[in-house]
Amino acid sequence: MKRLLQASLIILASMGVADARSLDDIISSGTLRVGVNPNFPPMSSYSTDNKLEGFDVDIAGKLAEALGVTVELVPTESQQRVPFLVSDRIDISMGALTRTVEREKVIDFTVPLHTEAMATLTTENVTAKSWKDLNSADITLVNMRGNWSVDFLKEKLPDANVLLVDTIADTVRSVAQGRGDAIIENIDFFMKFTENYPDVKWRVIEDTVFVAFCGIGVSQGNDDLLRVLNVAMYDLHSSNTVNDTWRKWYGADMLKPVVPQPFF
Amino acid sequence: MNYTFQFGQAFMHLPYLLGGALLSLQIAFIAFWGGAAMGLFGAFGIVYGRPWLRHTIQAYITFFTNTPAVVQIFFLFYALPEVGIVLSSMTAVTLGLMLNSAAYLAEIQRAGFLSVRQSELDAALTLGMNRLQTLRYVIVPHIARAIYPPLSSFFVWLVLGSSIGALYGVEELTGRALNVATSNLRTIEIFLIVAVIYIALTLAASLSLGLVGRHVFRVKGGLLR
Repeated sequence: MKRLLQASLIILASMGVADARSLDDIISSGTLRVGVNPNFPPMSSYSTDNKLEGFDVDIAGKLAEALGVTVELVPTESQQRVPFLVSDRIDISMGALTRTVEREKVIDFTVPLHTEAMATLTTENVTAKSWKDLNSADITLVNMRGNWSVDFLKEKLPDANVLLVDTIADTVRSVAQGRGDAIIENIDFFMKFTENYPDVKWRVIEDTVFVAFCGIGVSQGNDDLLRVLNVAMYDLHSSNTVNDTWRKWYGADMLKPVVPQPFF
Repeated sequence: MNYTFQFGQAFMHLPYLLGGALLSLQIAFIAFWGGAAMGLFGAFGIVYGRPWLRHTIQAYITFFTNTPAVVQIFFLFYALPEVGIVLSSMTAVTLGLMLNSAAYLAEIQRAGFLSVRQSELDAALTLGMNRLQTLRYVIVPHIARAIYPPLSSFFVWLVLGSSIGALYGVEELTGRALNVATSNLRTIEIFLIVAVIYIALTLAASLSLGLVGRHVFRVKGGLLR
């Protein structure tokens, strides 16, 4: 997937890209076109009345409000997030867009909106203090078939057993039912599912494997828009709106909250 | 965009994939024989049993042929632990496919029983055969010939159906293919190879079943004409 993405980024970059709408164009048109993932609850997904809802949708609304325009949500799957920006189908791109050097070569990022902390979700049956303590033959790590982290963990924790299941809900269920001991992943996205098992003594090992930052993607060189968004996001962070919205949708605090910085 | 096939990166995982194929066969084999034994009992029960037994078996068949195997296995794997029964991945998947097959195999075997006509039984009686002889020379060969072809195609279906195991943590052929494809991104190559392995498995199964059928049950048709 990563290689495919890189290849498509390079092709898009070399094609000569459509001109992005400037801040002025956006304000005079009255709408901000925001790319959100339609299949990523509770980040964003279709509700029962067929409207997009979730953390990203709430934040997108707040940003549009700050710009004095209305929001137009555009469904973008993960692999479409960058191409849609480059081809000017959207003005900003959300959907847990992890900030990477590879992407920064093609688009620009605002200050971080939220983090993705790769950490350990386990229960009190496991005494480990760090994710590194899980390298043992009597530990079974549960993961999803097709996740990037499967290979990474096999390399870092070669002695642990692995159970590969189908969905996030299945991984959490497997640990709850004692089939496995721990999940090492971007566990912010897993926490909501622990609510189904209130009797299980869940425990998060906070020492993180690493923390990645997800910003909002903007077309490269669209500086006016980028600066306004950065200031608006500083306000959203410092007023605790981001953290409150996160808790509202994820049912838990962000594991590693973004510390707002007043200077960009 | 020109895609360049690189089979080398896929072929180096062949032993790993073949290990998965062995597991697929194992699942299919256990599920088939277990299901066939249960199905035989079920077919007997429907044809010769008392009404309550007949109705119970028919309810079982209706339930298992009208719900997807993937849902039945989900139930075994994820719902049973809530009442304290934790089955391993392999057990849950094999058992699920076995319970599912039992319903289909009961129907196939019942059809076999019903294919024995009264006139043939009368003929056996006329020839002076006793019950055991009638069973041995008339009923069993007749049933075997009638049900052997659908039984063998069901086995082939089971070999392919074992790929459901990938969803529930069994590292069989499809699961291993997904593992390899995730890490080296040579998805098309891997799945082409896996398709060939599945074809080889099912052809080998069909051929050997065909041979057995031809020599033991004198069944015509199938791959061996």
